[in-house]
Amino acid sequence: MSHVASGHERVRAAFAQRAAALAATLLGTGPVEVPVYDAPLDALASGDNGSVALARVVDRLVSGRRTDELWLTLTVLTTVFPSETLLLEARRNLATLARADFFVWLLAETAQVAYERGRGERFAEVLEDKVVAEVDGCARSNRNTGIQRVVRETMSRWYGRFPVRLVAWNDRSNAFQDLTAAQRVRVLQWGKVEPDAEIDRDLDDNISPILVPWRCRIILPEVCTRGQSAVYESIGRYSGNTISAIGYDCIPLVSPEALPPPGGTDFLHYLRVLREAEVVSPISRAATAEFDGFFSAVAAQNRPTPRVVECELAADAPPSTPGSLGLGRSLSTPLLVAVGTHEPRKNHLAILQASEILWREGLEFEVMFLGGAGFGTSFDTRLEELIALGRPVSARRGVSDDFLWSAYREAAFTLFPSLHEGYGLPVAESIACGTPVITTDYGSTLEIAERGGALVIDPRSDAALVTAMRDLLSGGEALAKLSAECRAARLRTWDDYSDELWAVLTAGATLGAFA
Amino acid sequence: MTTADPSTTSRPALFSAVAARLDLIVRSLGRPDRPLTVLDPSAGDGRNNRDSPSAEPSAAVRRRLVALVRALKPHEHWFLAAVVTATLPHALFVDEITRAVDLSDFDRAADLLIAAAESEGSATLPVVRVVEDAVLLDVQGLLGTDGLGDSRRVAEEIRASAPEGVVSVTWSAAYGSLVEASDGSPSSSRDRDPAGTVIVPLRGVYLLPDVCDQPTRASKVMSLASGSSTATMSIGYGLGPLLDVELYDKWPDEPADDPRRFSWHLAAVRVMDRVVTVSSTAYRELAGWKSMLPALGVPGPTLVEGALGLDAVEIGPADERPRIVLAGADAVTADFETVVHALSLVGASEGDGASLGSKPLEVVRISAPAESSDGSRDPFLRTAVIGHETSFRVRASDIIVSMAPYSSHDVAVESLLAAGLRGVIARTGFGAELQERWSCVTVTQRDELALADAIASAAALPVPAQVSTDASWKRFTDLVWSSAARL
Repeated sequence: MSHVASGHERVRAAFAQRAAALAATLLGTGPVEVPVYDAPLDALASGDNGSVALARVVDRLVSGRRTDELWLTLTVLTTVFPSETLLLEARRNLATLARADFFVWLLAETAQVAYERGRGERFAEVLEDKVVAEVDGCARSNRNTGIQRVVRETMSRWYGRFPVRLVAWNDRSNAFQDLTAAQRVRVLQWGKVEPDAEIDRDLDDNISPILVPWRCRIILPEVCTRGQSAVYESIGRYSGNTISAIGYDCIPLVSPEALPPPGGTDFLHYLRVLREAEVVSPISRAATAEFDGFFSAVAAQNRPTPRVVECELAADAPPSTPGSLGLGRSLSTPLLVAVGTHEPRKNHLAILQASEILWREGLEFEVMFLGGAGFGTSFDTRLEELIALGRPVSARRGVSDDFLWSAYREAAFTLFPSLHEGYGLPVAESIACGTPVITTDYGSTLEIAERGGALVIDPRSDAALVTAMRDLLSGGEALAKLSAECRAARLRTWDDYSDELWAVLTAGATLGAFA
Repeated sequence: MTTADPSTTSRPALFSAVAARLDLIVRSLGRPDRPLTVLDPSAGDGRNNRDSPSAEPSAAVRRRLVALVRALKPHEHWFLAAVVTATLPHALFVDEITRAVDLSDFDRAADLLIAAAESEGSATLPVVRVVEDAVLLDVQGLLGTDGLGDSRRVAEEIRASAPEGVVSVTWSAAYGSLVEASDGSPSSSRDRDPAGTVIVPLRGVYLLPDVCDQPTRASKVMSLASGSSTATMSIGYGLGPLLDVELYDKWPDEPADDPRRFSWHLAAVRVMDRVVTVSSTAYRELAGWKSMLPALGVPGPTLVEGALGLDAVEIGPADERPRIVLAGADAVTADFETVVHALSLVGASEGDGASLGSKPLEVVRISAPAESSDGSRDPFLRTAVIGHETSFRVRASDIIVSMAPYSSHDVAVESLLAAGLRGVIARTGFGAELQERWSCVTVTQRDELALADAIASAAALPVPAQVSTDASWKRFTDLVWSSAARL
C-alpha cells in the first residue's frame, strides 16, 4: 500500500530529486525523472537523500569555480532564481572558503532561501539547450492590444512548428513553470476560445515542477516588469543562458511626456535586461534606430551590447468583416476614422482642429475616434465643444475587433498623425483593409507609408493636416490613387513575421535547442 | 476653456497688470516697419507693469488683447503667452492659443490668456521684465544639494566665469516662471519684492548648466526651446540614470524617482540647440541618445565635446604604508561593497608577494563636491575614514580606488590621478579615458577578486613623483561661453 507523504517527507523527496537533477546536469550522470507532484512517497525513494549527489556537485564547483554552474546550483536547490547579491556572495565564498565550509554554507543558505521564498516541495526540471519563451503577461492578461497581439499571433504560429517551450512565472514571480491549461488557452487560442473569468482557477493549484533553463536561449516577447528585470539581468549576466527579445520602442526613455506618471520606470528597468541580451529584434527601422542608439550609449561605457536585428512587424486584415457599421449614418458622407488612445502622443487635438477648419469651409464628412480614454489631453473637452456645435464627430471606446475592421473598411480614409510610434499598427491595418491613411512623415509610420496607400504630413503642422484632408475629401484623383496603392501594397503577414522572428531570435543558440 | 466674461468681472488689479504687459509686448515686438497699434498711450514706459497708472476698464484691456492676438504671428504666441500670464507657458497652452487664432477665434484666445494670467498670478501679480538678446544662466541647481555628480560644481564654475551681461535666473515656486538672481542669492530679489520680477526672454540664449529633471520645469524648458525665439543650450553629463537605472533608482516606491526624472531632463535637452559635454564618454553616450531622436521627428542638439577642469591637490609626503583612498558619493553608485570585499581579500592574502602584507589597511573616503554641505571647494578636506571620522590631505603613497560601475566624469578622481597618485579604476567609459591620460589600472566592475589583485599590484609599484597639473577650469568654461556666443 502506498504511503501518503507528509509535508516534510515531500520536501525531503523533492530535495533529493533536485539534487539528483543538478548532478545529472553538471556531471552528466544521465537523465533524472521528474515525478508527478503527488506521486506516492515509496515511488520517489531513490536510495540517496540528495547528500551524495550534492557532495559531488560541490566537488565540481570547487574545482571549476564557474559562476554559471553556481547559478544553476543555487536555482535548483532554492527553487528560486538567485539574486545577484546571493550569487556574488556564493562566488566569494567559493573562492575563499575551504570545501567543507563552503558545503555547509551552501546547504544552510539554500535551505533558508527555499524556506523563505521558494517552493521546497517542488520538483525541478532542468531544461538544457532548449528555446524557452516566457509569455507570462499574455498568459495572465485579457487585454489584446499592441504587444499582446504580437505575442499571441507569434506564439500560436510557433507552437507545434518549432521546438519552443512556453513558460510563465510562478505565483511568487521568482521561478519559471509550465503554463497552466487556462494560460495556454489565453496565449495560443485567443479569439477561438472565449476568455473566461474562471479561467485562472487552476493557477492557485499549480503544482508543476519549477523549470530551470540551462544553456538555453530565453526569448522575451513581452516587456518585463521591474521585478522580473532584475532577475533577467542576473540570468543574462551570470547563468550561461542567453536572452533574445523583441524591441518594441523606446518611447518611455525618449518621450517621458507620452506616459502618465509614474509610467516608464518599469521600462527603464527592462533596459537592464536588454543590455545583457544576445539579440534584440526591433519591430521597425525606426525602433531599430532607437535601440541601436541606446546600445551605442551603453557601449560608451566599455560594455558588450546585443546584436540588433530588425524584424518588421506584420499587419494583415481578416478577409472580410460582417457588413457595415450599422450606425444609421449617412453613407453619402465620407467617414474618417482615427484609431488610438486619446493621449498627447496620438495628436488627436490636431485632428479635431483640422476637422473644424474644414467643416467651417463647408466640407461634409464625419470623424470617428476609436480608442481608449487616455490621459493628459483636453481631447474630451474639445470633442464636447464640437459636438455641441453640431459637428459630426464621435468617440467610441472598447469596440469589438469586428467593429474595428468594419470601421477601417467603411472609412474613406483614416487619420494617424502620431508624434512617436514604435510601429503604428493602425496605419498598416488601414492599408491592409484597402483604406488610405494620412500619417506622420517620419519614423515607423513613414516606413509603412513608403509601400503605398498613405499620405504623409508633418504631424506638428495643423496646416499640413488640413491640406492633406482637404485634398482627399475633394473627390479628386488623390484618394483614388492612394486606394489603388493600398490594393497593390505588399502585405506582411503574421506568418512572414513569426517565421522571420524565430530565425532572428534563435540565431546563434546552441544546436541542442533544435535537436 | 473659460466661460466667464472677463469684461464683466471686476478684477481691476489683474487687468491693470495685463494692460501694462500688453504695452511691454508692443514695445518689445513693435518696429518702425511693423507698428503694433494697440499701445495704451497713457501706459508710461511699461517697466513697472504691476502698478500701471492706467485705470483702463477691463473691457478695453480685453479689446486691446484681442487686437494684439490678431496682430501677432504664430511664432510670437509663446512670447505673448509668457508675458501676459507672467509664466513660462506649457507648449500645450501655446498650441491652444495658436489653434484659437487659426480658427479666427481671437476672443477665445484672449479669454484663455486672461484666465491663465488670473490663475497663475492673481495673488501676487508679479512684474514682468523682458530680457532681450541676453544670455540667461539658470542657476536653479545651486539652490539645493541635489545634482548629478559634478553638476553643481560645473554650475558654480560657469557662473563664476560668466561674462558681463549674463543674467542669472532661477525658478519661482512650483516652477511657474524664471525670476532674477542678480546678486548671487537667488532669493534676494524676492526678499526685496515678494511678488518677484518675472523674467521673459526674447531672443538671446538660455543656458542650463545642471540637470533639469523636475517634470514641470523640464516641460517648460521644452516649450521655451521649441516655441520661443530664444536659443537654448545645456551641459551634457552622460546618461547614467538611464544606462544603469539600478544605481540611481533610490526611491522605488515614489513616482518621481531619479531615472524617470532624468528622462525628463533629456526630453528638455532633445529640443535644445547645443550641448557641451563634460567628457568624451558623455559625448559618445549623448551621440547614441541623439541617434534615437529621428523616431520622434526631431534632430536633437548639436553636440560639442568638452572636458571638465581639474582641482588643485595638496599632496603630503609618502608614508611607508599605502593608504586606500576610496572615491564615490555613496555606497551604491560607487559600489563600496565590492571594494570592501576586495580589501578583505587583500588583507587575507599573506606572503604571496602581491599582498599588502600583514599590516592593517587604512581606508579613507573622499566625497564628490556635490555632497558638500559646508560650501567647501576642496573635496579633500572633508573626508571620512571607514570606522572613524578624520580629515586628511592625500599622501604621495596613497592608492585611489574608484569602482563606480558607471562613470562619465569624475573631477575628484581625475584630479588625484593627474597629481600623480596610483589608481585602480573600474573599467567604465570614463575609466578608459583616465587610463589613456594618466597612470592607472582598470578592472572589471563588481569583480572583487580582480580588484584585490589590482590593488595589490598597484601597491607594489614605486611611489610616483608628484606631477604638476594644470588645475584649471578655464578651458571648459571658455568652451561653454564660446558655444553660447555662436547660437
